[in-house]
Amino acid sequence: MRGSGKSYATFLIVAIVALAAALLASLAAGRFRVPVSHIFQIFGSDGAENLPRELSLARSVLLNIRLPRVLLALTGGIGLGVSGAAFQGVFRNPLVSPGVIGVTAGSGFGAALAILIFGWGPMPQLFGFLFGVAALGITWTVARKSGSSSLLVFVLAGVIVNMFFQAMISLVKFTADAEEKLPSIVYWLMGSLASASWRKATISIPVILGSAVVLIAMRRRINLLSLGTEAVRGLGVDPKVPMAAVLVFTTLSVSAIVSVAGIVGWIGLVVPHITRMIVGPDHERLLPASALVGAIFFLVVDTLGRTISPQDIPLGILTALVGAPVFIALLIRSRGKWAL
Amino acid sequence: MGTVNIELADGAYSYGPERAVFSDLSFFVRSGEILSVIGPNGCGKTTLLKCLVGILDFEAGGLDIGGQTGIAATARSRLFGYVPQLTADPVPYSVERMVVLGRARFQRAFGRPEQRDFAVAREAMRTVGIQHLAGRAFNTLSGGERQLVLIAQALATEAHALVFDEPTSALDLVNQHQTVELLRTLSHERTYTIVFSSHDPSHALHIADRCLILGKDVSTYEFGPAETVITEEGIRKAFGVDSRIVRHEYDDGSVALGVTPILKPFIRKVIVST
Repeated sequence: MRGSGKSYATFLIVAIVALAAALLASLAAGRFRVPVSHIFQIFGSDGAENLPRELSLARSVLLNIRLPRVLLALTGGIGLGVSGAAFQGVFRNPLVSPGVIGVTAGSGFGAALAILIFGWGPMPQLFGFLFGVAALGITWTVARKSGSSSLLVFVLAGVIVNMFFQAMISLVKFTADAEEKLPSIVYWLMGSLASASWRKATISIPVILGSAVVLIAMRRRINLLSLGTEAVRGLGVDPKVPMAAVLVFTTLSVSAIVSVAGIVGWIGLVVPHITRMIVGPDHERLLPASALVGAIFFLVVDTLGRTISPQDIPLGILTALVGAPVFIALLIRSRGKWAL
Repeated sequence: MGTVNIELADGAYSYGPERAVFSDLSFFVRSGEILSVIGPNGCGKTTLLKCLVGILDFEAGGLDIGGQTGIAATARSRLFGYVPQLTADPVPYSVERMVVLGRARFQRAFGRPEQRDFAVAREAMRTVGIQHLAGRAFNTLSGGERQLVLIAQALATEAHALVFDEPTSALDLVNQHQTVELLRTLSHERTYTIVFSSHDPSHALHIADRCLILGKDVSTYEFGPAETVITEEGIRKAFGVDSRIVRHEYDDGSVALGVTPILKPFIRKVIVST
């Protein structure tokens, strides 16, 4: 059996050290480099007055620009990793991600619409969040109206809602002024934390982290739900409430992420697979471990995105460039047998 | 262990208005007895068991469990240990995790299994003889071993009534025999009330006290003591197959009964060696 108690402990230690290193590297790197020793000096001091003059600019960059972005990447990775693992678990399908039930596209449409109407400001975040939650509501209602409680019908309803919102995104792009709004909508949809700010961070981070904590606390229920609806009933548990909780909290988390970072594909799909290879398929370990791996993955990708070229490279491009080869390697290594 | 008498009066279930599965179905099983449900494929055995344990719910009729009537489906499901049919796509969790999941009904949504849950799970694994598999991944086990894990999971629920859906259908002869003997032991030595379905009348005749034969037709069924119901005539009516009841007497005087279907004569080709 993969992942005995001892190797899981080793994994946790290695992952936490790697996460700390990724955090520091992410704070240090960028167009304005801040050496690690300066980072410690800045965080160690109790105010700008007590710092040497040459560090005050570094302090301002670090605290006002970089820190909210790094914290959003960190929590975004936690949120996407945990949501992806929870989703793949309850649907017992290695290809399912919150995108499949329309949440990502709904949230993307909401934010794009807000950019079209209001331009940049607080509205894209609010609209992104609300439309993500609304997408789940629509998927849910469609599945209910069909009279079937099967998960397959639910996923099918999600695919339909997803396509609908994709079309609505195209409509927004089609309508948008090609000089000004269209580029910013397109850029935003490709995923980026370039617009990260403390205001966005303080709204989104509690929602993302809160949802992740609830999902991780439910990890034994997710093991149970992965046995399938009938088996769960046969074991004397009504699957409706825990299933609804998983759907609601993954939606809250993903909507909160999409509303600040745009559509960041791949992380929710690839991270649980990488993590499963290391700690095994049991959600008791997979969920906390996916949080760590997701955080590292997102931090690394975002740091690369703003350092390897003078202009920020959209996250959607980088996650696919990093994710696709990793996914292919995993597929070959597992010889097509997904131990899910 | 508490007593669990189960009695159904005029039960009915249908998949939509045109697809009744059974109707006006009545049977009972007393505490500590074994009831077997037999019948051809598609006669509704699985549906009946799912209604009984509350995965589905009867559309009509009265179900009495241990003197209580009208128990809602979810509450009812907590009175049973249910062993579903083996699926083709087993989960990859460890055997111990699978058996501990039998304790799920006692845990809250955010809860975790405690010492006592692990102890009950270990005891269940000992009862069916799979302690040595505790660390193995469920999906790497043979069909017979997986069947035992699911039985241990049902025992871990600490329910007094156990319901098995086709516990032998995916197994080879040796494993079929072992599983049937395990059901007998659970009933005779541990006084569980047991309901199991099978498409093999031999198993019913071998261990069951009572037998329910469901016919292909919606409202035809036979219910009674196993030896009165499982006859050559009864099997012809339900399955449309001729058979002989075979009786084997052991040296110590005990008797084993079996059912052998009589198939059409098969004419072998004469193979001419060249």
